[in-house]
Amino acid sequence: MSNKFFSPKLTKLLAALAVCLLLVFLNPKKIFDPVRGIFVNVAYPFQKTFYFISEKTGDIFFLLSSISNLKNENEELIRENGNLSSRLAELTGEKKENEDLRKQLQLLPKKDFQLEAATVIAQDSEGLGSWIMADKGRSSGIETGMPVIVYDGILIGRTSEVFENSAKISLLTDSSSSINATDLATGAKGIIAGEYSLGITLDMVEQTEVLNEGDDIVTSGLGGAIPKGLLIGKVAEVRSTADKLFQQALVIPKVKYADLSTVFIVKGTF
Amino acid sequence: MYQKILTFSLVFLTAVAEVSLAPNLFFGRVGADIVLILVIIWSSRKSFESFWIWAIIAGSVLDAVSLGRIGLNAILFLIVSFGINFLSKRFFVGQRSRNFFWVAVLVLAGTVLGYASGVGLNAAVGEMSWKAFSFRNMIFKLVNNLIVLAIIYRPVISFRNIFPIEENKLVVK
Repeated sequence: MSNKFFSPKLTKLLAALAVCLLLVFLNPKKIFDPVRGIFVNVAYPFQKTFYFISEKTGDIFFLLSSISNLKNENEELIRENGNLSSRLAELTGEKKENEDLRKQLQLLPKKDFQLEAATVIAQDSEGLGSWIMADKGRSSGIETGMPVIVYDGILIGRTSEVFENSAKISLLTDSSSSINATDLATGAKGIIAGEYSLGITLDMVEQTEVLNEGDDIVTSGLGGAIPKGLLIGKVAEVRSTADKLFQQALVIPKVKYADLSTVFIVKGTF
Repeated sequence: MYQKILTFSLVFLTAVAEVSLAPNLFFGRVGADIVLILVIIWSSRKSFESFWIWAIIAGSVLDAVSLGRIGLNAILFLIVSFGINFLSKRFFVGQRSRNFFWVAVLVLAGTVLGYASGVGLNAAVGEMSWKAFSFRNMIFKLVNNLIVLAIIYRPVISFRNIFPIEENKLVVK
């Protein structure tokens, strides 16, 4: 091979790439954790400020862009108001039914959780919805693997990395996410796995179990890591796996992860 | 030394802005690759030999702040930086023509390469699957990155005492 092919520039590039590849493969050994911790701690005040500014600015952009749609939205809202009034009557009955069901299934109401409120300060910039970062960490008693919920007991993910003042939350849409779940209406059990921004999948559901579109999926509490009865999402589509051994359901999360600003980390149950 | 500290601080703040500021501000809730754009502007104005170390530093800082695998973005920035230098020399893009439009073309190419290789590299190390590749997100990234370039191009070029930019001169021997 001629020396001309391996010019000093190309040699430098290959050497640098080799060093970077070595860095990539050293990551799982956690040798960079102290350095990463320093970076995250230094970045913390800037992240908090930047995220606050971006949220407020984003709201203004949204307001400006929505002004032109206000007339249409108003007409739609009047129509919707009429529909909602009739639904209210139905829901009053359903509320009672829901409370009975909650008792029967021993679902945990939100007041039973020991919660730590946290503000989102960063998120996955690739638009994959795989992680967010919260402004509470070890100093607030947060540990790895704690479930994270929003307002109404809706599960959004788990803490995957904890730093002194912040924590990385891997969302349910993350490919590494795997949580035991059950169909609230039929009791079908399966495993919730992330499908990136495409949604989440309820997998490994036996063919003998019943899954219906529109059913609510909640955590089953199996394994003990995540409390029973946290809402995950709604079944949008049911299909069989390629080998026809199991059923799969595409689950649409109850909340839009990109819009989250406050989350609650479940430190324990009372 | 002072300039190096200033440049490092700027890279660090840009990386923080990429994960904390950008996702809420841009179309489709897809953040812009602000650090990548900075690297492309620098690479278009510097030789690879004098810039490669900054490509590694910028990539590693972004990986640390965005909680990714340290080294992945460094690989991308090295390839982008080398590619820009290679193209500039092969197509004899002189100093005068290294204007906004040339950099915009590089940003578009860099965005596509960055997005595809980002998913590819993460898939290779088992952090992600190819399923994560989304044309919608890539289109949003292209638009958002062009907007960021339009905003930061002039300040980056103007402040040579902060940004490590040098004007390469063509020497005929």
